[in-house]
Amino acid sequence: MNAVSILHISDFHITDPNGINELLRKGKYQEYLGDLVHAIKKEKLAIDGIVATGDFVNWDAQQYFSHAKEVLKFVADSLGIKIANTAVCLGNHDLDFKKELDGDPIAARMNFNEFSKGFANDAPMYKSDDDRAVLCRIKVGVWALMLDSVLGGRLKNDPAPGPLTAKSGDAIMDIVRIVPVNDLLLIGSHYSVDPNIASASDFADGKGGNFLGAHSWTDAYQLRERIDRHRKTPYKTCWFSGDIHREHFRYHRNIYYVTTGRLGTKTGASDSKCLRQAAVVRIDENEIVVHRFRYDTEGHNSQAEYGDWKSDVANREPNTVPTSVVDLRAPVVDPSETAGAQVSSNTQVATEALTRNDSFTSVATSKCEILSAESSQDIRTNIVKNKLYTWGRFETSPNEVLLSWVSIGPLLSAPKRLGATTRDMATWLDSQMGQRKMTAEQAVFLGIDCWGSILASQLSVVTGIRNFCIAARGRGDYHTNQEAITDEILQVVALAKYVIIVTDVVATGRTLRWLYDQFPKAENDEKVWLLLSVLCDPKQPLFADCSFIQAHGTACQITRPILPADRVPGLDLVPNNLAIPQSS
Amino acid sequence: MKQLPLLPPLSLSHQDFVYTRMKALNWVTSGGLNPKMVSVDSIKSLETLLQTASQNTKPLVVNFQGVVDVQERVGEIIRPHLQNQKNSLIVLNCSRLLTRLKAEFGRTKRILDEDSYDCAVFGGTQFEFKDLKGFYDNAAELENKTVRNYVNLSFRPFDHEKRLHSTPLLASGVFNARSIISSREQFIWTTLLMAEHLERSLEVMETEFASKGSSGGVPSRILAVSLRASPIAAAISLVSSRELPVEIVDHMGPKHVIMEEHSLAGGAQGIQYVYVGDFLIGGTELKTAQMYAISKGCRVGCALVLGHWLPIQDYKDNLGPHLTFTSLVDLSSCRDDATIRWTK
Repeated sequence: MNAVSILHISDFHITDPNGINELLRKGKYQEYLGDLVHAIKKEKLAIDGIVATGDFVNWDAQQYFSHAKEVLKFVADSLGIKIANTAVCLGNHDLDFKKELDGDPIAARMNFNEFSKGFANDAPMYKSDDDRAVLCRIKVGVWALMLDSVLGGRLKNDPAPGPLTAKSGDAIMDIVRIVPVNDLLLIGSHYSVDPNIASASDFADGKGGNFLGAHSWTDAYQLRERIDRHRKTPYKTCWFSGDIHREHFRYHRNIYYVTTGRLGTKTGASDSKCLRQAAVVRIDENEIVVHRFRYDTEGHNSQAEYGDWKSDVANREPNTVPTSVVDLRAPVVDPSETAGAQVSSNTQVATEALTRNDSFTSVATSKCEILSAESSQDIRTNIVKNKLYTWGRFETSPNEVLLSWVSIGPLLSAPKRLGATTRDMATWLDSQMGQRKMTAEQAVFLGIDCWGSILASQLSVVTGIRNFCIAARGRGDYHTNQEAITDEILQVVALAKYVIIVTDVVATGRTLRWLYDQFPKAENDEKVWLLLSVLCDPKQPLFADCSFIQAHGTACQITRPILPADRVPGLDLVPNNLAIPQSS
Repeated sequence: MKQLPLLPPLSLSHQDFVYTRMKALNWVTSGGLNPKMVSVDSIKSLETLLQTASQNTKPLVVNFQGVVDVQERVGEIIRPHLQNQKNSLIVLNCSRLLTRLKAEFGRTKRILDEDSYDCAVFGGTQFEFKDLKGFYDNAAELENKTVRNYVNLSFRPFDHEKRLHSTPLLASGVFNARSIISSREQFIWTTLLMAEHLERSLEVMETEFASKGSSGGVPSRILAVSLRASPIAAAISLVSSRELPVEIVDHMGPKHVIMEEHSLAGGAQGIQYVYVGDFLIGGTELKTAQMYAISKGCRVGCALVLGHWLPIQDYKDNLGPHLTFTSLVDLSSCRDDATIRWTK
């Protein structure tokens, strides 16, 4: 497949095409978007198609769809592509509210459907019976599946995504199966299905609230998983969303999730802090690169319309080792144990990555979900306010050096924050218990070191799940036998169906792996390992294979780079801030 | 959040009554967020206990120690049960909340207020008290006995006498707090009792401070310096009415290796700590913690442990007479097979 470049734009929110404060107003949008097109061309990105993910008009302003179409057509023309190569999906602002509330969803979408004419949606290859899903083709080998995530959802002051019935989900899956797995599938839905979007900081103009409930299409999570399982070929599925007015780019399993900020906005003070943005996603056989275009404003809030488009590479997958050929969920075998043995190619690659001491993306971090957007922000604010983030050289193992340190003690020392973190972890766990039909009797907590033990004991109080505190630092060499892994713990873990590791920080992943390796694995062992942490850096590849972790919830995601020891200047140049005593 | 089964662990059974602490129910149901507030969820737990107690034809005694507020409309859940119950709900330590309780729970059958003991009886037939203090004593003894039993069960005998890691002593086995931390009900009852002891100690210190103007004031931070003391210290911090922040040092005992030296530097001076530990044998860990505090320009003003081996005066003689010392269990009289002696 040749590289394909897709322009993603979203959330025009056209309020008044003649309004002086409207960036996309008549007579102005050509300059604003002309500059964007110029910036894209400057990066030598040849656009193959456009995906636009809804909220073309603001609050039911049905009369401005014609203007929105004019704007979109201008972008396509300027980029030298046909509007038939543009796919659009419905946003919650695009409905005729009255008709939707009157129970007439077809009439409520009439103006949007009229607006869609001429776009790729106008010549659908397949449609679901309820018109919720439209499959069209952008070009040969590139399909667009546009989904209505608004149907049946809340409107007006408290908007939220709509429910997705099992029947509707099945119908969408039937359409997905039509697309060859080696073709590129672009999925568009106004609301995101990526639970990780909660980590997109400073959400939606700082409004906060029940983030996932109001902005994540949670009813479609199962659909997402089904699509993910069906489309196993890496870098062949991209899911585009808007709505949150913030950016978030993430590759998870086999789907690349793209959430881009809003394109249109008013220039008044209240809207001036909005991220004006577009993204170009370049998809190759072995790589996905997101080029981000931000409209950097100049002057004061009231003059926010003056600015320039600036571009950079926001995300690139894979980061280092091509994960496309490494199934990290496959068991990794120690090379010393496999001498002469036949191992799968995937395992070989993963093992090589491990023994080369290279960093590689791991399921433990890529599955990392924020427990609560509000608490996450609170923790981050606390770290900043109390200067708990230290930059320096921190040796936690002979092989790697952490370039930063966050003091967990002062962060969680206040009873209220400890209580809030426990509550968030318990809520996440409650959801896991529901999904997996897990009972308290089937599970056990392993609290790692002091803070992991504190949190595990608190979670045990709330959930009734048994817990053990385990000394892991220095691999237990600096603790007594009563603090190490005893026969009693081995027996309890052997009988448990679910093991939940609780730790303060996920860094290199070596401690998690070490802990996992302490427990013998029975034949056909189907034990499920879950992870709860306070801090995790989802972008930091781990240095140990933690693919045994099946789900991971973290209170806060924060960037904490780690380098292999041989990539760090010598101690004579940069002395240690910390050297954790190592096990003998 | 899912309501998990609360029985029988969150109640203790006495021959005359079933006993619980409201704070325990609040702690479990609030996810640790607000153990001092009676919520709709915690009152539902109380309702379940009330039904069970009624089946056993015993009154339910609920200790409201440390509870500071009652959510509105909780009475709608509990009042119908109180009206229909044959047995009573007896609330201890409720004087501060009596008006709120009457508003929610309905009419009281009886209110008693003698010296520092108070009690209100709701629902059922009137419960006859021989003496209120004796009733309190029975409840306290029930809790003490329960925790003593947990400590007893935590003992792990060695095959032969071994030298302890912290202090050069030969022991026939160790009391391992991990077994208490691992069990929800043991952890809850133990830490709630420790928190109450701490509050009492701090009240005494406050009174002394006010009357004598003794130096140093009252401790304002909890300090734990070992793996097994950490969950205990954090739980006390969470459930205590004092809301003292907790400082964890990883770690000074039983083996001594500081894992994050850089994090120990600096910090505020003049803090008076409550040292919280699991079991105090020779006192080495506490002494090291004292030195840590002193090196920062702070001090340990109070020590709270789950169990101790030597006579308390010995620790005071060794660690400083100013130290307020509180321990729940005397380990030396706990079990016959638990022996500790000096090494040669």
